[in-house]
Amino acid sequence: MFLLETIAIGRDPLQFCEGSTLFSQGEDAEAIYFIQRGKVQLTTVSPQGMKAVLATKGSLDFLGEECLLGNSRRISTAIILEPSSVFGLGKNAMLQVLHDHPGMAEQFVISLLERSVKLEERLCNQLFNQRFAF
Amino acid sequence: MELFSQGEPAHSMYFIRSGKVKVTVASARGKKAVLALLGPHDFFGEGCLVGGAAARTSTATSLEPSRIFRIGKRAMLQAFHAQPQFAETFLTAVLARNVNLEEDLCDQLFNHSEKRLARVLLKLSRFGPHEKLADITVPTMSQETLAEIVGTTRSRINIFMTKFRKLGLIQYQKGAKEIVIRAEALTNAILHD
Repeated sequence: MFLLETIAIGRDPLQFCEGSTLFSQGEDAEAIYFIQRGKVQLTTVSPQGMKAVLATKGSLDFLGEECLLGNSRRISTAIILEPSSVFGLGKNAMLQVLHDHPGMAEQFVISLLERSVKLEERLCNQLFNQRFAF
Repeated sequence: MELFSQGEPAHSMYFIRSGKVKVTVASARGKKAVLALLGPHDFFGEGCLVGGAAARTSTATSLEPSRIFRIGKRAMLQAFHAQPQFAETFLTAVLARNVNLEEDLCDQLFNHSEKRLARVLLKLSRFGPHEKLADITVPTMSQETLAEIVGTTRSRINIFMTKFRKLGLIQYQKGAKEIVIRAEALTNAILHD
C-alpha cells in the first residue's frame, strides 16, 4: 500500500482552485500536505525582494513536511497552479499515521532522502556554476 | 582518510560518534565543491537507501581521527521496521538536513559570494540566528576549501577575508592554526547588507 492511500483512509481531501495559497513564507508550519491530484508551486522571496521557484509538486507528491520538526516557519509560499485535491495533516496526525503503519515510516523516510539527493544535486550545480561567475 | 568516493557502489551509511568528516563533490570537469562538514551525531552516505543499484554521489573524507559506525542498507531498513522510535528519530534528522539544504540553496540563489562567505563562517562557529552570539575560536581552514564551500575562487576568498579582518568581523594571524569568528559583528554585517 502507498503512503497516500493510507492517508486517504477516513479523510476527505480539500479542494483548491487555481491561484489559491496553501501556506505563505514566514508563517508557522502547522501541517503537511499530500497532493491527490493537481499541481502546487513553491516559491521563496529574499529580503531584497528577489524571487525563486524552489520546486513544483504534482499528484502523489507531498509538501510542507517541515511542520514535523516543530517550531519551524515556512521558508516558501505554496501556490496552487491548477484545480487540486489535497490532504492536509497536522504534525500529530502525521506522526500517528507513521506509528500505526510501520511500513509507511520507511516509505516516507525514503521519499525524504530522494528529496535530499535532489536538493544536493541542485546545490552542487549552483556551487559549480557560480564558482567562476562571481 | 577516505571513507568512500564518488562513483563507487553504495551499500552502507555512516554515523559519526566522534571526529570530523568532509563531504565533497567533483564535477565532470574536475571542479570541486564542499557539500558539508560533519561532526558528532551527524550521518552521511544515506543516499544508499534510495533507489536500486545506487552509486555514491560524493566523496567522504575524515579530517581527524574519528569514531564512525557503518550500517548496511538492509540492516538500516530492518531497523526502521523493528524500531519505530528509531525510524522517527532518523526521519527528524533527514527533515532537518533538508531544511538546511534548502537554506543553502536559497543562499546560493540570492546572495553574492561575499555574503555567502560571511554565512559559511557563521555556520562554522555553529551558531544559529536565535542563539546568544559570542566570539568563537575555530580551527583555520584553507582558502581553497572555503572557496569550495562558498562556490567562488580562492583569490576572491583572500580579498574578502582581508576585508572582514579589517572590519573586525574576524581575527587571525598569518599562518596561525585558529581563527576568531566575531559572531555578533558578522551577523550584523549580513543583516544590514
